[in-house]
Amino acid sequence: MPDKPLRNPCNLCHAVRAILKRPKTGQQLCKECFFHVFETEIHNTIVDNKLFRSGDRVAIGASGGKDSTVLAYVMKLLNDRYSYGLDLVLLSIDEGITGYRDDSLETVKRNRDQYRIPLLIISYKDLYGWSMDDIVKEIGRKNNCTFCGVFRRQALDRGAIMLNVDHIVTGHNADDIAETVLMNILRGDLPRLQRCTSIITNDTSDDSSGLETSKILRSKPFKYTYEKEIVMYAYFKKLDYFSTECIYSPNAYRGHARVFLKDLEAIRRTSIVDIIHSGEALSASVQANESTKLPTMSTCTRCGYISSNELCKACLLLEGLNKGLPQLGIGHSSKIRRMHEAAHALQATPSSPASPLASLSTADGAAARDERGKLVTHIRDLNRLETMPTLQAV
Amino acid sequence: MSCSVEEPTMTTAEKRAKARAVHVGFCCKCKTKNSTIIIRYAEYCDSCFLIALDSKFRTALRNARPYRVVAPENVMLAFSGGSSSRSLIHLFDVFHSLPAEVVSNKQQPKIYNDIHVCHIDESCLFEQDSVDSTLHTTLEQAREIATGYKYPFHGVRIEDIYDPAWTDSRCFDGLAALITSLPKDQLAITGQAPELLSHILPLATPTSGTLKTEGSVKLSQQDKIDRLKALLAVCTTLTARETILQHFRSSLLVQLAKRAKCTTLALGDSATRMAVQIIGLTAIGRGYSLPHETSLLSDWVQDCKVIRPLKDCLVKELDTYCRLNELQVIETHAAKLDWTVRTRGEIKSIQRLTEEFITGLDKDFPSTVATVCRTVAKLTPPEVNYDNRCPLCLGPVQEGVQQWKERITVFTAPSSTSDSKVEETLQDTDGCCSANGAACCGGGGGSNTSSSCMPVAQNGRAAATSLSFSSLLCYGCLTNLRDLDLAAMGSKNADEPSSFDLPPYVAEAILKRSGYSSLEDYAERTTLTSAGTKDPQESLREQIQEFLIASDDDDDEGDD
Repeated sequence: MPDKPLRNPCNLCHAVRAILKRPKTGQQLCKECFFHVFETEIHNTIVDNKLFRSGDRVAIGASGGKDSTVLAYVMKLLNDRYSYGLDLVLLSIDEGITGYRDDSLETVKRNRDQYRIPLLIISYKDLYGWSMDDIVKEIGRKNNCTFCGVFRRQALDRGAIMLNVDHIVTGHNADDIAETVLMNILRGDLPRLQRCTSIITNDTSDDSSGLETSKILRSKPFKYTYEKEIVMYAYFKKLDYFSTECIYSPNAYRGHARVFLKDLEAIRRTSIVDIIHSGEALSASVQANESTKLPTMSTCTRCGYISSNELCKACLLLEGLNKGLPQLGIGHSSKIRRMHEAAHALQATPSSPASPLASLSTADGAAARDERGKLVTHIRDLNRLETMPTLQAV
Repeated sequence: MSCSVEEPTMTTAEKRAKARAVHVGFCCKCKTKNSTIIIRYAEYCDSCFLIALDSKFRTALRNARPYRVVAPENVMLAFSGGSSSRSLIHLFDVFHSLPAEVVSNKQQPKIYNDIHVCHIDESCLFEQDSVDSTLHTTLEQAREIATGYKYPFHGVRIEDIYDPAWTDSRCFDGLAALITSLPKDQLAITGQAPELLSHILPLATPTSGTLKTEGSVKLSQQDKIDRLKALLAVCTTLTARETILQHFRSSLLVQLAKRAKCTTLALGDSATRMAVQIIGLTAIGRGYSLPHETSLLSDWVQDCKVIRPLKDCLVKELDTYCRLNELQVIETHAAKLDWTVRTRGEIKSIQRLTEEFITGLDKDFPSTVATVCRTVAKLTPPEVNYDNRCPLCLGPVQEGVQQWKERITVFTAPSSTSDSKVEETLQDTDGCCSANGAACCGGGGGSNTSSSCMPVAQNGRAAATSLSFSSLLCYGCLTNLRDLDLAAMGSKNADEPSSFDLPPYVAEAILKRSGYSSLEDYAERTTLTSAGTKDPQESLREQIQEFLIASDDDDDEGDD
């Protein structure tokens, strides 16, 4: 204890001078106390929601941005500190966006070395034969986020199968979730409103298929963590992250919601957590309602990925791309199916070179079904991946 | 994946409107007259518009009461003075003025027996300089409008929320004074919200404003206004002020309806307002009670259904309706509270920001309001016991909200986690102390008045005069009361009284939730126990000794 009273002591330890104002509470804290509350809250979230079991193999969805960089760091830290007994791996998706993803992946590679966590990078080009740059060239800047989102979701799962993990954690933070709650109310999407606040999502609750994807859980340990605090944490820990917005990105409607959320936060700093709390309460209200059941899950007839239709969205979009009908899959569903049938009639032979996924994905499904531990072999440059030094541990 | 969700696609209404575009310039109903009104994509002539709105209202009314009418009910129309509630009265009147041959027909009983109109006069909260001109006015204007329809009128002033008569028992002579569980010198140091406790004080304090009439205590009108203003003044944000005022309004409305023996309370909330409310309530953490607060028919309040028959009508439609029928509205009717704003930071409230957001969004995406309302209409309200309602907003209370908050927002210093065992014992012992982690009970001093910080509800018996308050609140109110100015609150040492009180209806609800039958019961049990119980503070202090900070280290603390 110092003899002279401190100017601005930390609100928690009272021993050190405060250097920051905590965005979530407005408290003045010192660096160590901030690290402590930040990490403990994530630990509480993990423990209270029983996210992991000891011995789980967990993939961290890593983009190189602030959220996933901090996620990787904190996951490793908490795993060591509280002995979760997790086997961590990094999993990155290369969408093939020049000037954005290529740079951010360099950051991920540095993180791999810094944190000594093995890394697997999967690219759209390898998986689907199209990079985002190609897709944008084909369809223009409108709606390209649909492709990216659908493809990324599936790519993450495919990567998870390759890495043989039980769980994928992603860096979605409290701001993202609050924004999604608002978006789903504004768009009137009750099924999504119900799902968006749950911390763990498992794609098939009733496991009808023997497919590996169904057993992989997804969770968001940053569910209650403010974006600002993540940035603050990365800043004070001097973490190496990549901060550029996606060059194809902004979505007008979501942009409105994001601006609104930031304004709300400025008025009342707890509002992000308050919205999540409201979202959780609303989601319970949805559950009781019979009319909003989720569509039944089956598997895609082409690639074996889970799907609510005969053909999964990724295959549908891909088919559109490959046949020069990029609008396929965007817009109304009955129209798509009609277009799809027309397209299908034109092309009787599915394994033609024009659609590489057809052959590629059946191999994937088979491999997944055959043996879980085996890495899927259809990825073109898997050899390159395997020669990566850190993958020895995989 | 933040960009993966698509923009809202065109709704059926929009598509239909496009198809209708061949009739541009003509009414979409009769297709003969020139259109004079455009609502979203549809064009109407005056008479078709009136018919359309009227049938919309009738449909809503029928849906709010789907079963066959056995006994006609009395309905209370809440009239604020604005165009929506003004339209409500007129629509009810049109609906109720049945032709003579139908009235005489016994086969078709009326749905509603008596129609009453009520109004809450908020003129005491109007901007200071305009008070002289508007005082006493909205009540009289509203009465004029109601009597024009020959409906019984019930007027009340917003400050009457401090009247003992406007409670469930109709004569509850007590107020709730809030105190913090932390000594004041600790408040600024921890920078977190303390646990709130309450004292129930009898209204019959010998202040200048009280005078005895008919055996019960009456506060003078000015005294009530002062108390209300004092309460609003300790709210540090406009959001908190508006929210609390809204709770008072709804409490008064329900009381008004119950007193007039109305089993239905009809509110004039329009679709536009509902959409703003839905997003606004979500943003202030009231998602749990949201279905009750926004549904067409809510049976949450005991013995008084709340219906919102205008919740499908846009505010623009109702404005037009008023204009076409030449209905007189009260220009200034709701308290704006702008004059209470002291700093630049609080200029906007969450409610107003939401209003701007929704109206702005509705310009670019005209289906927004309808979509939001439709979505939330599908939600099922939570099933909670009405007795367990939040004392402030009288809404449903979700279990375990305080614990939820504590887990996701940590307030403990690093050293304490190293020994989690101690943390657990703390939590088991006392809800209040665990909530505050380090500093509760720290510098209380041994005086008899501050004998305990144990919330009564926690151990089920009266240990002291202070009752737990935070633990009774719903999440939304708990969050909202974080915006109270702690310095204005009473401390544990009763020598510092709080500079504001919560109205009798809150005090009554606190007592009821805490297990007391009446104010006398509370006073009696308090005097008995406060002498007999041993000071539990020392034992608590021992348990948390290692977390306590000697308060002399931190004297020159500047908050913020």
